[in-house]
Amino acid sequence: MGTAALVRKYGSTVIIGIGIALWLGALFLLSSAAQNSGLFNRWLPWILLINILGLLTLFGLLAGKLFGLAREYRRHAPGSRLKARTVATFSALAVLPIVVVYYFALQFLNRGIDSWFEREVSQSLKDTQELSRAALDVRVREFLQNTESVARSLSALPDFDLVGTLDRARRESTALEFTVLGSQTRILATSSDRPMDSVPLPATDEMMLQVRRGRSYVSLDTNAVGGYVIRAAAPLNANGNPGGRVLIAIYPVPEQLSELADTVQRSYAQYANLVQLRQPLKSTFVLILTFVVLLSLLAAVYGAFFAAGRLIKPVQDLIAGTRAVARGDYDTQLPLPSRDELGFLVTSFNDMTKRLARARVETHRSQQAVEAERASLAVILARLSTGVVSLEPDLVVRTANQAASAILGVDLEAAIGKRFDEQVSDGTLYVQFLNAVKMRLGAENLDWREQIELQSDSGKHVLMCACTALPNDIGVPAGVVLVFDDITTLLQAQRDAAWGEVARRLAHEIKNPLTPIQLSAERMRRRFLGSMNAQDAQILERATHTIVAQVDAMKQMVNAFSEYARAPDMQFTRFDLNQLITEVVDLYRAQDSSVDLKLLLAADLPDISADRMRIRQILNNLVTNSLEALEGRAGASIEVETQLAEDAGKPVASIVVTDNGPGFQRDLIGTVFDPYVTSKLKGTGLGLAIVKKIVEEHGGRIEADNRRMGGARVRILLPLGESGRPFSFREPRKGENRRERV
Amino acid sequence: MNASPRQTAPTAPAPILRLVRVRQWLAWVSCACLIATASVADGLDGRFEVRSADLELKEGVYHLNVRIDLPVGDAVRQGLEEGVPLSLEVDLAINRVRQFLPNAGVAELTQRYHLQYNTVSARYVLHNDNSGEQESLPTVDAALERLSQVRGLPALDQSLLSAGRRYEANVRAKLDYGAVPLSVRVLMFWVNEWHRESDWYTWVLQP
Repeated sequence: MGTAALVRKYGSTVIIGIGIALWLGALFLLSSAAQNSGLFNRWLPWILLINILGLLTLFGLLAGKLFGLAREYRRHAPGSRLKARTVATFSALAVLPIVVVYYFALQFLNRGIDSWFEREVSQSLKDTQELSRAALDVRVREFLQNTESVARSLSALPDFDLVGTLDRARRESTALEFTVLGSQTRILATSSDRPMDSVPLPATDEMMLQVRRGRSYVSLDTNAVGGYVIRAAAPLNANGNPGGRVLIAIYPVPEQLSELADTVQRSYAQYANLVQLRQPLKSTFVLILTFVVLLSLLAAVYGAFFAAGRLIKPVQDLIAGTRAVARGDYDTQLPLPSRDELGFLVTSFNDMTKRLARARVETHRSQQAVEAERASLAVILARLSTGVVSLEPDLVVRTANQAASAILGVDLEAAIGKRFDEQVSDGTLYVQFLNAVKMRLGAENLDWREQIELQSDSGKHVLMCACTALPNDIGVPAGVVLVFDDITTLLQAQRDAAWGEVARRLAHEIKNPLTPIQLSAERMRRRFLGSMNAQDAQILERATHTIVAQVDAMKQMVNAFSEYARAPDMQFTRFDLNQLITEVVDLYRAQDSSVDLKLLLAADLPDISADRMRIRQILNNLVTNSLEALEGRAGASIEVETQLAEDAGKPVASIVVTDNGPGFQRDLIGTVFDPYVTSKLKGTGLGLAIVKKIVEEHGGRIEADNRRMGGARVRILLPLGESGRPFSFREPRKGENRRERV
Repeated sequence: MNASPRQTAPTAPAPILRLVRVRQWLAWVSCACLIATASVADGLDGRFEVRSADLELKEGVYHLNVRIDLPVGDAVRQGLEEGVPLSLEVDLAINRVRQFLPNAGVAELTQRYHLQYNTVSARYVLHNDNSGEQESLPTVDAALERLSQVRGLPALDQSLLSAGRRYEANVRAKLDYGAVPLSVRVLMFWVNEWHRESDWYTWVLQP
């Protein structure tokens, strides 16, 4: 672990530890110094410094904590509100007792200091003072009288006799010193019990002033070396001459009395000091107490932060962990705070996230498998030629494949997530399909299968539709699946096959007796025509002629059927389609000039590989069909157009024959290629059926519809290469055909 | 001052304004506490300055004479009568004036006096802490009058000063009322009624 990490981890703890140690040290110093004012004065700056530093440090730490908490609270950080409440509760619990103690401490402090100055104390001191003064006053008066007596005795003496008398008088009394001063405070004589080590005490102005007024003076003075002395002065001249001599006497105060007086004075001075310090001391103690209480308060609040942080940390971890789990992070593992209930909770949370992580992995795998299945299903659905649409109970499209879109002529894949009937489309097929299906979806039984016939411009479409209800867990249908297939081609193929069989049977069963019938009729005519009278001969002639003619007609019909039902035996050659078309059309131009035959031939059309004769037959049939439709119409016009086109990504030759005739009857459009479907009075009704058969034998495709401006249009797509023939001949690709329709 | 906030927030005070008002309120309370604290303590009050000072040459020695205005009112007088001591410290500093350099110190002298009422003798005792001499005075006025002047204090030998040079004499006084412990003075640093210092009184001395 690096130094920076250590500082981060233990820095605050060390600082707090040092702070607590300093604080305790300051308290110890304070308690020690309280016993000794000298120590207190010496340590006071340190105590103050430590406390101020501690206070500032705590204040800074607390401000930081408060700022951090406020920031977390504003950001709605996990656990911030709980932490704020906990801090507030802890702080209140810690602060309230401190405030109460502070209040009572203040009261105690004030009353404690006031008790020093109770009336009894000051009165006792005053009594002591009075007693001391009274005790000393007796001596003072005695010494004053003694001084006045000595002064009187000295009054009559001349200056030169003063010394002896003065010394004798001092010895007779208890005075320490007698001094006689003359004018200008000149010492005339003096006597002292310590003549060698002292000089006479000088007279004070006050003393001289009073004596000069003729009055005696006495005072109790403190000695410079300790103790008390009584200083007295009296004029020597009894007549009160102010310029006369003055006797000054110094008397001692007994040592015991002096000590007692000193004690009284000291007590008095101390009491005076206390009185002076009464208010400052109160203020000082209140300040100190406030300081300590403030320190304790800040420490308590900081402790509340610390305790709340320790208590809330696991909860914050849990909240953060829960949010992480909500975000999908199941790898979250919380540190174990302790082995208490919170620890149990954290352990349970960690177990839960582990299980969730495992479940997520398993779900992911299952989801992947489902996705793979779904992708496979989507591929299958996309490749299916059968339309599949699944709907929610409220008809919202859940899935739809390409085939469904192709069959119904709308983009159902784009409609996924929308209601099935909300598709705004003018697609005829879709609208008809929707109308047919909606009725059935409203019924109770949702499992049904039905053939639905739809009509479009290109003809009739027959859909085989099956509906199945999707089950769910509670038994209520979760939706339906519609599966439908365009079986128009299949039905057509069935019809074609049936007609082929009919044609073969007709060719076989009818064609054979026709020749004997015709021969028999001709024989009857030859045998009996000459032997009959004219009337009978005429009848015979007419009858046999009718038989022969009808038999020929039947032969033609049977040949046509035979042609329709013949086996595909074709001679494929490569030739120029445009040239063939030009040849055929030129023949018709020569025959009938009343119809305008136009050619729009693509110059870039390559040679095609086909049976030239059958292609010619196709062209003949189509042009003949159009000419018959245009019979008697003014401005008749036929247009034959070739193009190089693409069908299902492969190049094809497109032949489009259009006319401006009446067009196909709308109800016959779907069946125009069926045998015997015709709107004309003459003809076998096999022309377009044979055309379609030939086209399909070439692997091509044919469509018939009406032009918008009027007239019929037949479009043939012939493959240019030979590769498509074997496949397209037997099994035309339904999906591709459907897409072409779209 | 309050007009502009009212214009900006006529209906309800903004949070910042409320904060300012709280601060103003706290400041007023603090000032009131300080004033109350200062008023309850009776101590030094009035001008404290060295009114006059001079050095008088007598017999080769300069004697200091100082006259001081003491900041003593009735409260201090009352305190003195009740036994509260009064201490005076007179500082004398004589420097030689130099033109381009800081002045050089020649002599320094500090004289301390202590005045206290003796309740047993009922007299005011003025004690010279330097010499040990003491003087007994009957009244507080006499004692304060005596304390407010220093007369003939031998301060400097004439030989220490060079003739023709320029000297600067400085006198300052410090006064302590009572025996207030340093701790109290430090804690109640804003109260100046227990200890005062005068400005320096300066004059030029040219021997």
